[in-house]
Amino acid sequence: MEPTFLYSLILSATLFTIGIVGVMWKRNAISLFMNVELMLNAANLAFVAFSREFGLMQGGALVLFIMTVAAAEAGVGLAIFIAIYRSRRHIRADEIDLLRG
Amino acid sequence: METGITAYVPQVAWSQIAPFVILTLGGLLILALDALLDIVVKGITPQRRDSVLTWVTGGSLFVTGMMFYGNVIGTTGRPFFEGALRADEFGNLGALIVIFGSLVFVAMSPRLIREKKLPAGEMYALLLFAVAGMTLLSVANELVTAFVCIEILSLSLYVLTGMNRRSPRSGEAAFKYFILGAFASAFLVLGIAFIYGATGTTQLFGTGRLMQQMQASEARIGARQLIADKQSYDLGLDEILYAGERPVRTAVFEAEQEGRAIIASTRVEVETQPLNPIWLFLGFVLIFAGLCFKLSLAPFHMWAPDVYEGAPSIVAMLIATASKVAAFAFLIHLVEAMAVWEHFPAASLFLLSSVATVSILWGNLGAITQTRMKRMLAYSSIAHGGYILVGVATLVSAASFNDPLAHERIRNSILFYLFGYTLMNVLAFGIAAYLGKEGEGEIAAYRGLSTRRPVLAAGMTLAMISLLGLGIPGTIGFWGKYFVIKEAVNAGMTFLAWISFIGSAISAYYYLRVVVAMYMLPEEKETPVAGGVLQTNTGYTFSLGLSGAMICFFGILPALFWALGS
Repeated sequence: MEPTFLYSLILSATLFTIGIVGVMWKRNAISLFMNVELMLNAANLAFVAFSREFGLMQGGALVLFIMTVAAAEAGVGLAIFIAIYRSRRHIRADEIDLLRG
Repeated sequence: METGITAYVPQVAWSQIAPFVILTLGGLLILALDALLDIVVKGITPQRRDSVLTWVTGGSLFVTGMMFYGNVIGTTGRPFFEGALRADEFGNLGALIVIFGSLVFVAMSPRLIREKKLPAGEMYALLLFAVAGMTLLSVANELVTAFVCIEILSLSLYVLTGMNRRSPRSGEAAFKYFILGAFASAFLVLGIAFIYGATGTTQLFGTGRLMQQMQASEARIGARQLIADKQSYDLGLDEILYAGERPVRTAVFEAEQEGRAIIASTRVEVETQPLNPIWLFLGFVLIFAGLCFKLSLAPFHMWAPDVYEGAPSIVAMLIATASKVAAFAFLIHLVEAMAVWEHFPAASLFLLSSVATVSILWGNLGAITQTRMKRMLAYSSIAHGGYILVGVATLVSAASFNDPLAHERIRNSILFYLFGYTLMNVLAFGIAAYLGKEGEGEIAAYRGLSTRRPVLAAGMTLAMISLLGLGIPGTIGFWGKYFVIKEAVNAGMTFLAWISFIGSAISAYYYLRVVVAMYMLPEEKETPVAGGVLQTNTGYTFSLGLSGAMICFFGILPALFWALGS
């Protein structure tokens, strides 16, 4: 196990944790979503690290799929945010609370 | 050194992937028709245009359904499409249930489109894409394929949830669903990365195949090191050769002998070396957490009541039925593949059982306090997810993990439960949506429904009794729970069986409350009685009647369900 592999995994875990904490703490929908993207990319990093460790191309290729999906997700997400913004004039996640019970 | 590149032509099993191709092309066709019908056909009325779109959507779903039915009968269970998909009987029947749920959605949607003035083309295209994702997910045999499927279906469902843009509730539901769904899919991706790290592959073959695959990948890692070693060897040899010394030949020979010995010793090592179970299990836990979000299982269920309440009712129906069936099919394929690690049952049983327990208790207790119909149905679907997870835990339990016959029986019981669950939720959500504002809101509005609309009240009673399950035989919900709990007891999981009993007992309170409201309580004076004729269409009534009839039919003759598959 070469140190680069270990460092990549540690970095990936750190980024993922930062993402989770961010999703829990942030209130603005855009920052929330940025943290989700951070988590996705942390996972991508883990993928690439494993792929490099094995000397296989597969993991690196799969990252491309995940990135494409993340882009599509961003498209849909931002559209939903805009729809919310149009009716409320803000996108603060904790104040979007018509539905509760 | 070989320089020629051998062209690799992949074998595409067209007959196997045709359903998915039809669904995707159908979605694109709907988008094209939506844009072009007005231009091509002069003077087409919006109603006519929408009905053309409805028929095209329904038609492509029906054709796909027939293909899946054909695949159920002729299933081989072998991986195809480069090992990305594997259609066993379970996956095909799961896909068939998904198709049923979405056909019902298509039958019910013209009324929603007319009432809420929604864009029909976008809705149907999104539906077809979602169905393509769901059906692919239920036969997915590769983790990244499964991830892409989950995202296709989720992205479509997010938009369908927020389809009613005039309602702030609909947008809010889409917002919550999206944020939590995206959060969950990050866990899913990290889990996939860890499983890739543990096994060197993202494919889930049948149990034995994955083992071979893993050994092969480990051998590949070993071989890579060997090749690296050999390259440095060769470099050293080259230097000696350039020095032009004759006795080098023997040195090369000796080096080769040594290399063979190394290869031989490494092979032995590879065969005895266990795979990395920590990564594997961590990966499973993360994927499971991600799936729990999608399945609205207990610690990750908080989005479900809000989304079900805010989304248009029939979209909530689709989320509750079709997407859950597909995700459960994938979960079952996943736990089966995890069998490569012999301690997997022991390690994961606690996790699965505790999630099932918490879902059943939390779902049922949460439903008690609800006063609104769709929120109550959301909590009820959380509890039902828990019952199905009891089945999955039974499947994993050590007693049945290595017994193929018991394995088959448990899988069948889960499939039957999923089928019944789909039928009764179709009926409950369908009637709630049929009644419009009256049915989707407060449960108190159901008071006196038996005198106003006796047929709908009877249908709702049937749905509630079937959802209640245990206690009253003669409905599909009873047999679903009976089979799952029986298998759990057989596998020695009495604790989960008791939890299911207790959960069902609690659920009697809130399911029967609806029945009591419809038949025994007087109408509230201030309830606006929507007496007049409700706008309807034949497909809607037909699909409600069909679901009700099937709940009774399979409730009386449950064994006939298996006759469908053989």
